Amino acid sequence: MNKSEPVKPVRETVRDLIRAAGGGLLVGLPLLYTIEMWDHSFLLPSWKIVLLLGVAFVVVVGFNAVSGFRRERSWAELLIDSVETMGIAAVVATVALLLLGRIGLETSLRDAVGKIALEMIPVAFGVSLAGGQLASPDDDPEDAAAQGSSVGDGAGVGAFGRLFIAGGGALLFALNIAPTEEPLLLGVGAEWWLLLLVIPATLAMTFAIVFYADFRGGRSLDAGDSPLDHPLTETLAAYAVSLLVSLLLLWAFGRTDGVGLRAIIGQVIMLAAVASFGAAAGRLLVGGSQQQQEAT
Amino acid sequence: MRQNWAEWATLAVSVVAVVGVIGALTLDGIFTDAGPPKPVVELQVDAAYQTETGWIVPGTVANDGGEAAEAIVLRATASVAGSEEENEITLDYLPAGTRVEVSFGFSAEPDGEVTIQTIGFRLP
Repeated sequence: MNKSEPVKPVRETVRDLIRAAGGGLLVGLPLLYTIEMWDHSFLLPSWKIVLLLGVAFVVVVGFNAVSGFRRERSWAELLIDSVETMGIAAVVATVALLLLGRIGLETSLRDAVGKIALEMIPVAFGVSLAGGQLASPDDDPEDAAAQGSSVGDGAGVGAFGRLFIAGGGALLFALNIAPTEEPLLLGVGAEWWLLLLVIPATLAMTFAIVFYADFRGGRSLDAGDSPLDHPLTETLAAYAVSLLVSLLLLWAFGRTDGVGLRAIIGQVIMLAAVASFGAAAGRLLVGGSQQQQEAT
Repeated sequence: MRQNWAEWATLAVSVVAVVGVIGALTLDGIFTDAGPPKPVVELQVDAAYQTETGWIVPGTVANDGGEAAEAIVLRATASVAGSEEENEITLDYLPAGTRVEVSFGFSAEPDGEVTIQTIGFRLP
């Protein structure tokens, strides 16, 4: 950071904050209006909520790293941005919960903190996606060009980075469903052959979204150098990540407690269908690898 | 560009918020022993009032225990005009440390004390 640089105007910072709050609410509102999220604040033990916050933080760091708007950013700056993302999310979630009457004077501190902690997770994803961190791009045209469907950092995202973002997208999507009762009903209610049909349907659709449907950020069917950089392997790997994310969320929200293995598998497959679309959306967001971007 | 005061303020508030949330949860996890739910009912007999459909006695139910109770059923018993009257209310959830406002109804003002009994609850 150069000392001779001008100080960023306060007005710009305020605008960044408002954009951050807006993005956070855009993603977080459905879960702010979800009864299971309110109830899980006191149903879940503290350590599980802290664990979920930890996972969310890692995902936020990942989102911030690839959707970055500051071209050169050290690890320390990335971490500071991510802490700010979580902090803004905590404030936005608190205000929203107060306005919705979900926390008040009669709410115990533990209950209130639990609600804020759970609700700030989707809000933080929204803040992060809105590019709401205070490190906004300098107004040069190169930056504007970089902020399309693809990576802002210009560094390109490798196969593992893309898989990480797939996991983040999966978490973002599945989080909207996981706390509710529906995955349990779907998973328990589905016949075994129905579950076996859902798996290829999910795989086919997510494969097509990323590699065939010509979405912005979608890619061609050409394979890259890494074994994971092949459309088929990447689709399978992203599905595996989606299954893991689904299992983690179901476990975190107590949907696996005292539930038989068959019901757990059913729930995971049904939730992973949603998670996979999040994983696909995440991969569209970061676009192709560097070579492919240069080629286009 | 260098940081302005608003950015420093944001960072400070963010750190406080994040440390506050995680700190409060961690402290709670370490120091609060998760004892069983303990429903405690306080009736405000003085605040009772007559309605067209009966005599309403408001009160609060608190959970002094460490764990939440689900589907908690409370029964209020009182003697009204010489005969025993009882009625029940069900609370969906009673989180630890939280106070919920309730009301019990009787056909008329009870003669003596209203006694409350916990019929049961589920552990979530």
